[in-house]
Amino acid sequence: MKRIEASLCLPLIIKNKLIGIIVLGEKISKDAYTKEDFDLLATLSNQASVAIENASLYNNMEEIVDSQTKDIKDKNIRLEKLLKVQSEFLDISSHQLRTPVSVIKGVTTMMLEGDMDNLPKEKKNKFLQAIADKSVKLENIINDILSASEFDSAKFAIKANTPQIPIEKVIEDAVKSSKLEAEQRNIDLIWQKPLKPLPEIRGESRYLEQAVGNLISNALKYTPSTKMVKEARAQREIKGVVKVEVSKDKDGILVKVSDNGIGIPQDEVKKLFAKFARASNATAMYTDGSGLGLFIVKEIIDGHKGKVWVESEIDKGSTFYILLPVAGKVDAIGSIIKEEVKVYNRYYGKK
Amino acid sequence: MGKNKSRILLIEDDQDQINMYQFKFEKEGFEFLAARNGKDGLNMAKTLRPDLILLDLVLINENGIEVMEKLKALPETKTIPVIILTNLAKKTMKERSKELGSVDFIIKTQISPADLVKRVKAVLEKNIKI
Repeated sequence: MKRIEASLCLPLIIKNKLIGIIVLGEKISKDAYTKEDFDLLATLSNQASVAIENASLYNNMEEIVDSQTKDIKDKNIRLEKLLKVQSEFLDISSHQLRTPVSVIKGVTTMMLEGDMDNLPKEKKNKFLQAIADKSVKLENIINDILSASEFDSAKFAIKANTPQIPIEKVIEDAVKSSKLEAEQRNIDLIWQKPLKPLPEIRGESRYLEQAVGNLISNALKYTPSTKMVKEARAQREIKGVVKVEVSKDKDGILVKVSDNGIGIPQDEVKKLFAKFARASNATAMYTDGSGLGLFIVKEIIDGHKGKVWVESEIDKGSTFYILLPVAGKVDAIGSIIKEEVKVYNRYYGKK
Repeated sequence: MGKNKSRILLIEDDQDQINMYQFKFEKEGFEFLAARNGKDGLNMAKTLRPDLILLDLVLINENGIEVMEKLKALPETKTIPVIILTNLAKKTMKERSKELGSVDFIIKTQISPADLVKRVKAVLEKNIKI
């Protein structure tokens, strides 16, 4: 390798940083470098510095753009998933809403066209009853969809100033509202009043009544009015029963809604409290009702810092449990946190 | 030759819906049968050989498309014209049912009982001509 003797070194400087050196050897003519040479080379080295800096910035920029592109791609995938969930929600909700509407529209159209003019009153009334029933169903589905959306946009949670309420009255109101449906389905709806008064809980009565009401409504829906059970070697017919009870448990107030209905398969219990539980395929859609009842119950009970769960056996029945903390307990936790903050501030915080 | 009344089978889980269509079709001179689930529907189709089947897509615990696949797989039922009658307005379901050979895809809220009868009559007349 030919040894090069440096005759001239030009620094490449950008933003006060030395990023390189241009090394020049002897001129071929062996003459010295002139002032004009220096000026030309100085200009060249400035331009070279800028070009090198720009190239390096460009490389960095490519990396930044790559990482931002990946970030956008990830966000797009999430957005697509959310849109798909929303679109499925709309698909299923619109189907649930259309179901009662098609009966209302169909029957009223036929009546207006005169199809039922010569029907005996009793048969006419059966069709009118169908319209009335479907109208109520429609209203319930709309309410459920609105509730579920409400919880989607703003989770409910009890606050320090949420009032204390007697849970027995809330449950009794929920049972009363379900009495008519139980009669129509010919099921015994039993409210087992607690023997002693219970401690109060912190909560919103309208939400808790909605939650208990939804559990009762489900129990009624999935319990036949009569069923055959095997006893010894014979078969006996028993009546459908839904029982509602409440008691003080060591962990709080325990509400139980139990039925002797069709039960729930073990593998479906976990997913039960999701929206349209089991509705990822159309086959398992709730054909009657909104499919949102249990989702709404979970939102409400979570907001009350409680727990909801189910125990069930196929063909034997199900029991849904709601556990709510007693008012004092929630307050106690809050005051303990306040104490901890005080201690922390005393030792570590600003005086 | 054959029966004077055309026989329609409706596979649909809502009793109010069944009552409504039963009233209209019988008034218009049809023989009307109804099944509330896929299994009963398939059995009735096999044994009673309706002239046309009205099939809902959303049945309790099963999918009308699955029922249709079975109808089209059985030699006794595969030639019976099927009209999908549903409230599930999903394009994918419409396409799938067409693939399987459905004659029509009707949204329940968008058709009056009288118009449904007209459509059924039109399908039956076309079939007879063949």
